[in-house]
Amino acid sequence: MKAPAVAQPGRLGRSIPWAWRDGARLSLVIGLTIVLGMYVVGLVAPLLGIGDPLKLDYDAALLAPSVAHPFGTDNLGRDMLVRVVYGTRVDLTLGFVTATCSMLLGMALGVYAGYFGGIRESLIMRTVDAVLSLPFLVLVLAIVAAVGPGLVGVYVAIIAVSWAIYARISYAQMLVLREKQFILAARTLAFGDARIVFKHALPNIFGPNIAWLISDIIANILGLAILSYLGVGIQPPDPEWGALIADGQTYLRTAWWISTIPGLVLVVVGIGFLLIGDWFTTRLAGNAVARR
Amino acid sequence: MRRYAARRALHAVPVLFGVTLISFLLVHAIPGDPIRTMLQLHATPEAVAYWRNFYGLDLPLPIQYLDFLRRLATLDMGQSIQLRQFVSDVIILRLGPTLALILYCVLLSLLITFVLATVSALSVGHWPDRVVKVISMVTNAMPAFWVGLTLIEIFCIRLGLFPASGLRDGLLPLIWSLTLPAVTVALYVSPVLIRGLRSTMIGLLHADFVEAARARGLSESTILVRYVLRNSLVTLVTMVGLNVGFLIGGTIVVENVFAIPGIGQLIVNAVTSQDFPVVQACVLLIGVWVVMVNLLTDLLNAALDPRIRL
Repeated sequence: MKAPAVAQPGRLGRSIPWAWRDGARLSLVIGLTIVLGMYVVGLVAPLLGIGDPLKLDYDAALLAPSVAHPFGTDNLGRDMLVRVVYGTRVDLTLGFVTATCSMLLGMALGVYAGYFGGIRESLIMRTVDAVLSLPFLVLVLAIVAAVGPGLVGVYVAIIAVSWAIYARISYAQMLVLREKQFILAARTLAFGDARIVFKHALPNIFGPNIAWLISDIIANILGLAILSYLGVGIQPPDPEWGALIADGQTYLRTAWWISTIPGLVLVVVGIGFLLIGDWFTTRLAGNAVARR
Repeated sequence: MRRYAARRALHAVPVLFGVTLISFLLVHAIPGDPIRTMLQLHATPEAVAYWRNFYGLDLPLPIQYLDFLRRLATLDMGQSIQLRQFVSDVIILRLGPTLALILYCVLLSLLITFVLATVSALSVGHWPDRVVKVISMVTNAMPAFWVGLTLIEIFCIRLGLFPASGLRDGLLPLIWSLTLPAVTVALYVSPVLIRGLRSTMIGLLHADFVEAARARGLSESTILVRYVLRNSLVTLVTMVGLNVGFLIGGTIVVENVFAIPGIGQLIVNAVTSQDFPVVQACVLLIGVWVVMVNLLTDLLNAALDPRIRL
């Protein structure tokens, strides 16, 4: 945060060394390793020569996990490890992209409503209230129904729903900032609205939004998995974690690994994001204490 | 209290309007033509024009919206394209299983939350607290449908204890067949509740009135039950009320995993078969439901805690 008017974090926050004993930092390192490690592997998967996620091999159908197929094979003989790795790209990309887009959209609308006020404020914030009164999954499902099933529909639907929380967070922050001395001073100095908002207000609004972003990424990934499981997300035969779990549902009795392993991978990624989020919230709380 | 109730109810009005507006616009945001979807091969220009006029889709949007609200006042939400029945009749049939599942799941989550949060709050920083933290983190990261499938695999297929899908007739068999779905949703909702209740209880354990009770020589168990648990009950009820949307989201998924004929299964079927009147009605129903529960929660809270009414 380079804004001139932002209070520097106090000594309290700085004096803690980069120690492995610090639980919050350790969880950040573990979380980042899990998430980035998996994403990098997913992205470079075509270069690794691990095979084709769509390649059928009926002779190798429904094989239990072994050295040749660590995650087993599905009913069409496709290697589950390869499919899970390729699924990483779809799922994590969606998580990052939808969360970032929703954050930018929500911040823009929330800051706009909070800074300018008036009729535009009530219009935006009442829309936020209405969107947030509907469960995430219900509204996403309904929008997917309107836009049409498939990855594009899921992207549109998730962004169209999850911007609202960012708008509410940014709006609340902006309302507080609007009365702060340094913003009033900037106004008195006749700075333009754009300068006040972008240089002075925004740097103070990012923090809580980023903290929410982390949990939002995993929520959106789970959203995609659920939609694919319900049959309106990724369409077969493309690999995606939720779709893989759905594929295995028929084979629970004979081939537990088809559903179970992609689910475990989802859990591991979820824990990775939660660990990162933990560090962010502790850090934000720490800063709040230090600034007082 | 009456003034607070009126003020709070008034605040719900624009939100309710917003919900009706969203569910109304959903159908009109469809890139395709709902009439063409409905008629499919029979979509001659004359037929399309006729049904367009029949459903009032050729009128200006604001007028259509007013008409939508007018029909809503008599609970007329049109006809399902897929089922050829009145949407309201379809929904009433599906309401029972969903309500039963939600009730069961709320009771279960309250139990889980109560036990784990108490254990956690009484042992902050020690191993029971850490164990609870790890458990809630792991369950928080588990996708509900996968949990459901895993439970089916373990308890229905391997152990043969529960029916894997559908509902049984009779009260006890019904409860039995709803157990795994309710456990699945409870595992999905509880981590959020545990986190909230734990921090409330930690706050209460160090509150002045608790310290005063301790100073008066009351036993720790009396303090826990009469002062801490009793006060945190309000928080727990509030959190369940505020998370009702989350709860409904969980039941939608779980109903599809366990083939329970409730609202969740209805809305997913309607989405896959592009049955827009049903999607619209479900969105509306759930939206109104959530707004109402939130309103009731706030009023209940105000009734229990006079400070809120100020």
